[in-house]
Amino acid sequence: MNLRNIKAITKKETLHIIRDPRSLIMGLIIPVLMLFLFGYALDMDVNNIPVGIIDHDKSDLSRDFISRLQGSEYFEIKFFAENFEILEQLLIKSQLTGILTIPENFSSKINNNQPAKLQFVIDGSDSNTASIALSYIEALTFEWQNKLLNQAKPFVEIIPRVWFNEEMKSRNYIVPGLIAVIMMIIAALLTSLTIAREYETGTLEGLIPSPVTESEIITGKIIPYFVMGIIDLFICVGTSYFIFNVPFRGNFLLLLFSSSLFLFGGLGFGILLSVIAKSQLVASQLALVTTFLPAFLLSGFIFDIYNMPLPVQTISRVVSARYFVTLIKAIILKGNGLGFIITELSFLTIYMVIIIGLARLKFKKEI
Amino acid sequence: MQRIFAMIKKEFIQLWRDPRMLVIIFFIPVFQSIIFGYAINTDIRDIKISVLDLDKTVESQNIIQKFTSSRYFINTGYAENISQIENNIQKGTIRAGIIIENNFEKNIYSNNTGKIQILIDGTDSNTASYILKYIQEIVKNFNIDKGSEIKATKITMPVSVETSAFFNPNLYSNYFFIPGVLAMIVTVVLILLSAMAIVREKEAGTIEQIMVTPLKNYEFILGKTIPFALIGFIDVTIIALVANLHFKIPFEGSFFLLYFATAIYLLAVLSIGFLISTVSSTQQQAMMTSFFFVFPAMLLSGFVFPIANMPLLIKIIAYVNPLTYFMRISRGIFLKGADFSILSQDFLYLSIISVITVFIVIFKNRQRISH
Repeated sequence: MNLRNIKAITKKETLHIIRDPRSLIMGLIIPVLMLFLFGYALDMDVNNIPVGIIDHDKSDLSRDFISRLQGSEYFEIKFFAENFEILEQLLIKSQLTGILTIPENFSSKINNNQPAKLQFVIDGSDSNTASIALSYIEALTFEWQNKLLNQAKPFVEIIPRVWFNEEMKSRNYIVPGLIAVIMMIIAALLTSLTIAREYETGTLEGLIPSPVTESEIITGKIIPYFVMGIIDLFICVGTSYFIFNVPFRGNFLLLLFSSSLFLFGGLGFGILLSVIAKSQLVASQLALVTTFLPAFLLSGFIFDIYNMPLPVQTISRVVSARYFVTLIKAIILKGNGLGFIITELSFLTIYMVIIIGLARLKFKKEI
Repeated sequence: MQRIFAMIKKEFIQLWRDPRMLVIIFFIPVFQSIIFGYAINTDIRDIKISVLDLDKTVESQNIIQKFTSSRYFINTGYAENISQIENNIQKGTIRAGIIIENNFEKNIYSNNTGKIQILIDGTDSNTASYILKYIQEIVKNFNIDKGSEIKATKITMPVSVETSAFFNPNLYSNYFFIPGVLAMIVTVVLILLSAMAIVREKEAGTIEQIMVTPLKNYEFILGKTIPFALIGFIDVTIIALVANLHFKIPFEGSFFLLYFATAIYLLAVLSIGFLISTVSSTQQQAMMTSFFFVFPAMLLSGFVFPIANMPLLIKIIAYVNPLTYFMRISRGIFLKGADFSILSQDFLYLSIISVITVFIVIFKNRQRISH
């Protein structure tokens, strides 16, 4: 490896980037824009569930229950109706998520010390919202009847303490994961076309007689994109801390170091795709399919990896974003030091070495 | 007509010349829908916990038994002190720690309240809220049991809720996500294909050759679009079959309606792809720009994150996003067996967006030629 040759390739690639300001701007602005948009937009907290109510009882007790429901931040009463069919239509049209039916004998049964039943129908198509809504309604009913019974204190009580994200804000866990996903995608997108482009336009021929070696070409091509990636990281972490007020509890240098490992792996992966595909169309499809969707779905960014069936968990082990998502959450939210994240760091290192090694092996200066 | 046909033939030959494209277009969607069908799962089970029993009595063992025998939790072992639990949470080997405090049993029988401390890793707030919910459920049932046992009278729970979930009685998260994966994969594959279409000819210089042929503008566009549209229909069919046969997602509605929605949606997607193609001069630019569309389109479509939770400004983006409507229609047809009259509003908005994008393409194309 000759430093001068690497410098020459880096300079050429940098010129290439600068000459195409649109791609440059997109490479730098997309990440920030994404973080902004999604930091504000993505929220899995469930509240204001639209419900419709059928009150056949029309008693003080039923009205008391309804007003209790109305007062809760989780539910929003949208419609009152006399029969179920009207509300059912609205449920199919997704204008309602739940329907509460209070039967005729509700209050008389309670007054006679007989068990009374409420009926709650929910739109199960969004299973996450549905199961949370069901637990809300059950908790609410339990509370309401306890008040009714004037029951003494419970036998057992729980004192929950939530660590690292005390208010359980979904933003705090989405934003750090989002940084990882954005970095992964940007890295592979940036480099996946670089060598395929040279194959397609025939400029690789120009490099063949030159004294630059394959390793020097790969290194020289990675460096400018690495700089872009690091700038992206700074902007993203800054946005997360200053704008979204996500706490930063760990060591910034540690984050920088692990991000560099991750970036080299990601950029190397783009180069590998480029070398294998030799066509920009194929490379771009491959990049999107192999980085975008896995980084999004198999990294633990939103969907818990421990929940997946074993074969899928095994597949997720080759998704480098998985380790980076864990790492970045551990550093930012948990404030973990080197000792806690050594496994993830070693995986990232192994991944980087294998990927760049493969890219080097597959890349031959020939047509 | 003949010319369009020739153009379509040329496009197909070009596409198939690279057999890898065949794999990308047909095999990968199947593979992805299977992987994601399994991966996307918000049903939380088998949460790893650790228990610290400071009381060591019959009652404390009793409640621990309630936790560990539930299908939600797996006890990874008893902890000896709090710092061991804290350490494991920090490392991420357990998600929650359960600490039964001193005098737990004594408090229960002396009309005081027995206390259980719960330590939860809140990093993943969704999982954390499920953990809390499950624990509360278990403790609630324990309270009811103790109540009837200690007071020796059966406390009747005066009010109970009978719940039932429509369209997805067992609340499988698969049912929700897989019809969404269908909409998503079609978008990802087709946007990129169509965005690359014209740029590739520009980069290779073959666009000039096409310009001098008698091929009319609209014939060129149709010739380019029809092959992609076919690919789109084939992908929709394949993924719907995987969803129904492999994942047993009910397909309540009509296939014809799904195709109809796909046709309208493809108009929008392919138009946007072509717009990207006409404003880009290199394939790199086209790819970045497609990505610029796909990422927000996916996240702001209600695929995972409810639109109702978004701030107004972003809601507006979500409502001009054609994927939002296609996703709703896909879910409606799959799960609710919705017919046209129920989905008419979504169809209307989707059509409006498609028509607008098609008009922009026609307008842009005229401009380009007049140059």
